[in-house]
Amino acid sequence: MLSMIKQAGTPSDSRRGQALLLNISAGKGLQSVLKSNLGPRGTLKMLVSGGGDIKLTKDGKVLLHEMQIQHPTAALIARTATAQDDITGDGTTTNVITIGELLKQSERYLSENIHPRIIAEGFELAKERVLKFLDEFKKEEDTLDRELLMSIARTSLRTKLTAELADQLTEQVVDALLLIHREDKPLDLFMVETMTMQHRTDGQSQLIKGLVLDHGARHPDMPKRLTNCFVLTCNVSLEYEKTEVNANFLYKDHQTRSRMIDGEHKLVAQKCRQIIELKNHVCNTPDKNFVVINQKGIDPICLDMFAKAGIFAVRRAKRRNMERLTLACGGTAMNSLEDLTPDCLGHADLVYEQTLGEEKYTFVEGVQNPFSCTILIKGPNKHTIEQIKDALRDGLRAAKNTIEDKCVIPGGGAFQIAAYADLMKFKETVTGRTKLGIQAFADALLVVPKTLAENSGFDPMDTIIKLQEEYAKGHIVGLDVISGEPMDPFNEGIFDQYSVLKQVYRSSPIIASQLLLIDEIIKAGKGMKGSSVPEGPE
Amino acid sequence: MNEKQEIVTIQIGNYSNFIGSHYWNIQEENYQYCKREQIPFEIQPSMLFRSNDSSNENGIKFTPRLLLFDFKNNFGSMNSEGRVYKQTNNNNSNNNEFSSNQKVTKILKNTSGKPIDRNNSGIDNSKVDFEYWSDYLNIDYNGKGLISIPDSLLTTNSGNSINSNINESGANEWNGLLYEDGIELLESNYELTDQYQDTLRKIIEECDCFSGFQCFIDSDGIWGGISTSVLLHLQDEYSSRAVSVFSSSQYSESIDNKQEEAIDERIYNNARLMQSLVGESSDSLANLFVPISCQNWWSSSRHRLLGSNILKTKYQTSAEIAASIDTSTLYYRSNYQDQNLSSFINHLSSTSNRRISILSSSFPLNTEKMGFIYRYHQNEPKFPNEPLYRHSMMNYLSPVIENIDSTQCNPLNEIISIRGINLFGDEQIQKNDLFQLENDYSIISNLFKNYLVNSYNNFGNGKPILNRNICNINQPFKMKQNHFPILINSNNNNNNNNNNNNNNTNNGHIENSDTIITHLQNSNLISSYLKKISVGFKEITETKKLKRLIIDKDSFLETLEDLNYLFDGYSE
Repeated sequence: MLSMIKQAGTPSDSRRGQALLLNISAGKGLQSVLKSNLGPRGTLKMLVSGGGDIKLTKDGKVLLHEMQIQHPTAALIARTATAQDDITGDGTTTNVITIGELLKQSERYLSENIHPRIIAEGFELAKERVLKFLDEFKKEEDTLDRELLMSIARTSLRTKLTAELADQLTEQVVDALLLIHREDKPLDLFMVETMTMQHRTDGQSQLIKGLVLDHGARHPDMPKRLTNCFVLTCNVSLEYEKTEVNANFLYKDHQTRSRMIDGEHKLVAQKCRQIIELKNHVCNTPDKNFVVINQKGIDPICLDMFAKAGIFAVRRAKRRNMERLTLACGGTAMNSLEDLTPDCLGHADLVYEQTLGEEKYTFVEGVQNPFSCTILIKGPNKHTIEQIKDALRDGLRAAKNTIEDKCVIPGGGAFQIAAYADLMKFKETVTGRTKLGIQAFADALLVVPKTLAENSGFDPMDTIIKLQEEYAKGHIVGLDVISGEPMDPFNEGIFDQYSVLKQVYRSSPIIASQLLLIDEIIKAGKGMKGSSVPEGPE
Repeated sequence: MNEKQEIVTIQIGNYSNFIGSHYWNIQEENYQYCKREQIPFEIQPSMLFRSNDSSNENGIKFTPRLLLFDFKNNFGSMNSEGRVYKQTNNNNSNNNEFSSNQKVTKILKNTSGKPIDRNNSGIDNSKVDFEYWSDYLNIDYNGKGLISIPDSLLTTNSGNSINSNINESGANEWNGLLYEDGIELLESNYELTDQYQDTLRKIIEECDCFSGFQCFIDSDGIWGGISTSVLLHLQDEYSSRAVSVFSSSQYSESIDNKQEEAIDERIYNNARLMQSLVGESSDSLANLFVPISCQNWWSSSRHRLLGSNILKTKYQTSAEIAASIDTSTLYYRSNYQDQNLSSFINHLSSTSNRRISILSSSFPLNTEKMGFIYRYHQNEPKFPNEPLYRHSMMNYLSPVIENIDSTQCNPLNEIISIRGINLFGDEQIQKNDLFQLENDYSIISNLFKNYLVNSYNNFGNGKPILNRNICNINQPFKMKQNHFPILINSNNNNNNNNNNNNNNTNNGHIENSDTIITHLQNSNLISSYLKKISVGFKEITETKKLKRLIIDKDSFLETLEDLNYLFDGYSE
């Protein structure tokens, strides 16, 4: 067993503190990488892949996902932060810089020979207090209010995109969510589909109260635009399939062979005829049309039959779209065509196909119950589309969180300023060295408003003092990133999400104190060759 | 009337992508050859390739119908549009200075990979060890089909950051990851799953007459698990389609050195993969399973594997495997045989407990050395004495083949594929004539049938062969110089007492490499492999040799049962 454990350095006592310093420097390093991206005025990062792909982003989650992180401690922090994103959809950067700051603040005390355990205890106490304070600080609101949701979504989107683009998307995000929101049912974000189109300039995104399928009809003669349509959604194979068993065609000449293939195809053709009959039955006046959307394949012969009957048919629809189609248009998805009745059909006012270069899109609009919708992102190039897509995802999550939290937290660093003051009061009630941990935690809280100020081009200390003075007067204040002055987040409509903050201040102290309590890094297993744990001096 | 039967290729894993790169290069060359020589296509290109919309002003571009999985790091200089990024200036050494302080992250990566230099005839590319498969890829992929698994995902496993390993050695040979990690990776990563399923759906949406999947997968590391997840999805969504699987594992030094842990890991991963793909409990995730390895895992037997004793680079070994796969799948890709993927599979694996086949191949082939002597106008052809499955010029591509001389095992089903055979000596005939071509086909396949029947009767256990198919095309296996490593028949060299080793590689041996015979057989020869796998698996789980392994008693018993079930199918 001993041979399996190889120490990272020489096992002398002088190296005791080294692991700790290593961890702290990793935390700080990751913090310094992500710090500049926080807030609406943060800067961007450009990621270049080995193949020359370019990605511009300031989304902490995207960065952590794409960056090559070599240091094991940094990877650990990154994992906590991405877990944050998985749960709440936002706050990755906040999480990383808070962890970094917690480590940085404790470094000061550690150098004065305070045992890490004491600081960790202080963190624990402070964490409890902050979470309690968060519950007091939150503001219960009717979160289905459109204006409020707009503010939330705007706050989130503006940190990721330019103001103009963000404002436009804000409306779409909120409308989309209000559209799919139903009483007593959890919000299902899958009901909002995002589609991308490389087309024209950005700022052309639109919300479609219906569906967009990313493929079109595969027959040149099919109608391109239909109004007042019956929609048949089905999961029936309309393809000539080879038999599974060992069966062979035996034929003498060409004619026999084609006759036999026709015979094989008869079954499929029969199914097609059934659909066409139904079409003729329901479309009794010429203004009515018929659309078939199939999850399975449709082969060219069937497509041809449909085209002759004037039916618009698409094959291989996305499985999730099948649910959404029946939800939106009504009707039921058919798994067999035996009991095909007009009741099974859904309805849409408009179905049309649009071709963009290589891609085809089918739009289904004017549906009865638009409980599902599509946000169509248009952008001039790939990286813009990617950027908008990532931001949109965050915006949706932000609005969703708020609707579910049923409360808001004033943004712009307002919570952190207030929590700092609260912790200072709490510190007085604690006796002993644990105090220091609480102090470190309180200082670390301020990193968010500090970074906001720094990224907006103001002096961080100056700004913080201004904010604290204003808070001492009894106002709730956040930082105005444009003027650098204190502002009222409620007036400005800048809000944070309750669940995000809760998650940040719950998880970051835990990981920080765990890192503090590490006294040695040991290589385990021989698979770790070429590890990035730095070797100590031999 | 040749109905276009589309086939979708799925490549999972780094080594499979090395094979894939060669495979697509071969396809490209097949196409170019027919264009150049102005002869009709003997291999149908539209089966594997898709074309973009012809309305594009740049004209039609063909890309493979391909779904590809690999780690993001392993893409080298291929970008997300499927093109290989060719760097013009080599002055990028300064870039490293940009890496951020404290070495937490590497922000600006320098272009990875060193693309192949085909025009410089001074360099022999077969000696180069390419780090990335994109380095020598000759065609463009379709960017949508590339699924890159972010390296950061790997850190989710078991605490220690394994990704540092991968960073260091590109695609390392043995990284301590197991089958279960792959399953977990796809299960826990919703976005990735969604992405590949959607991509696959789009690829298939384009097909008019979709016939099935051919999968090249890695059996090592996490790839077995990923493959299982992907194949489960195929079964779920495209249940009636044929799936053939070529599962390969790359050359690993630790296995040649008999490092126990490496062998154990490989046995474990392969056992789990086989159980889930072709075991009794798995319905029919794979209709045909061909295990491939470029080295022996256990004691070396007489039948050495291709090239493995000469050049062990991934570039070289994968080329041999790719060429063999290319030839052996002619059955459904050749234009003059009305067959498709599902009949190919039906042909090879007639019963559900015998879905494993083995592949052997021979190149460069000298027909006279092999024992074939035939002149067009002489009626007495001469055949080799040995049956094909134990002919010394045939190299097996399986992990282990034993006792080939002592046991008598005629294969149950077999497919012999021949390309570019030239039995006519100097009497070259005009090959442009379609009728003539088909005539030649039947001469060659009759010749081979004679040979096989005779030799099997002499040597075999007298059991009749259920299914036999011989397919051959005239188009030789010709790759442009420096586009493909030189293939050397290792047995050939041994016979020559290594004297001609240098001569062979240096002058004129290339012309011989245009004939390839491959032999796909469903025979009892595989039983030694199955036996070893199941014994090895039992030992691993009983002694708990793999530390990371958490043994679930039930699933362990199930796996063992399945392996025994497979073994029973192959032993009388």
